[in-house]
Amino acid sequence: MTVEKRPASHSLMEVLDRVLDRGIIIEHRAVLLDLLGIPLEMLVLEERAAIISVDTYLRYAEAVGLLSLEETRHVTEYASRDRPRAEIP
Amino acid sequence: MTQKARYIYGVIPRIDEEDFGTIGIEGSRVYTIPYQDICAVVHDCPPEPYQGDEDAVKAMVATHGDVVDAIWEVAGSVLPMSFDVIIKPDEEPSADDNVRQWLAEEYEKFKLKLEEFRDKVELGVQILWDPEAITRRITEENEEIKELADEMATKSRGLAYFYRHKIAEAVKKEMEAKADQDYRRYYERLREYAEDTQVNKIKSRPDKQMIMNLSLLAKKDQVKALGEALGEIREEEGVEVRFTGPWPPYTFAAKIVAIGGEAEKWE
Repeated sequence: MTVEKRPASHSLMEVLDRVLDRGIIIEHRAVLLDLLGIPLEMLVLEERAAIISVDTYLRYAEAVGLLSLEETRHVTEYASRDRPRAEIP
Repeated sequence: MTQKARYIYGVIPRIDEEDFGTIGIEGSRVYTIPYQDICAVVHDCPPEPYQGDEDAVKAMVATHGDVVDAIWEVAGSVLPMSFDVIIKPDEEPSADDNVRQWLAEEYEKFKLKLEEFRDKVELGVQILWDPEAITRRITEENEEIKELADEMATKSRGLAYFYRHKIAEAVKKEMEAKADQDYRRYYERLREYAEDTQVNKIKSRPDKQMIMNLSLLAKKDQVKALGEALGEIREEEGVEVRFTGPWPPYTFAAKIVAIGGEAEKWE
């Protein structure tokens, strides 16, 4: 079975995650990111501490027909950017 | 605008190529500043951080990533910098002097890591659950929950509400236990195919519950076996695997804390 490889639709998000969050730093990052004038959460996906979210209960309820959910969910969309990549052998 | 500072993309082993052309942020010319047998890859910029609106920053970050990819390919090993790392000149020493001094101070560490990362790639593995499928699996397999669900069907509306709460609690407990168990099982399995691993924070995804977010530093010849192991994991019901790469070693380079002598905080 082939495994998904650096998919284009998530590629920019992955790049942002790495280039902003990782890599070697010299200066204090928080200061720099603040200067960029945009909220950090717009660039880096929201972190979730708990493994199991409220969604899970709601979904369970939905799955067994207990609730009809019209959940509104705010999802920051990232523009997809096609980054063809050498296939992992 | 004065171009007295140097924006740093990464550190690579010294190579013959000294000029990569205008591939940098905002079309800047990217070139190397050598120190002994390593070099910093830079462009000239004003002594202030890059900033802009969200789209502008995304474009700059993407370009940074492209440059790191390009120099990685040419040099065979790279220590990628994070976005917006800029070395400024002082009154007397130029920015180039400061870059060389920084390389000199970090030389042994950089040299060691460049060797360690050679012929290795960073891979991202995210394991996600489809909460509905996993919940179904748990309710089918767990006797206690099955009984509660059966009982609930015979109850009045008010009592059913109480049962729903009980079921949700039981499912939550089971899911937590299962997430913990599966996480350990996956980690033990996957670490065999990597030289180093880094566990990253769980991130939310629409419609999916992430249970593992792992970076692996793998030798190129380990990648196939890792892919096969992940393929097997993906066969499990309700489990999605996202496998990305090959990346320059951003995550593992981040473990090197580089404190340049001439670097300063932006105030």
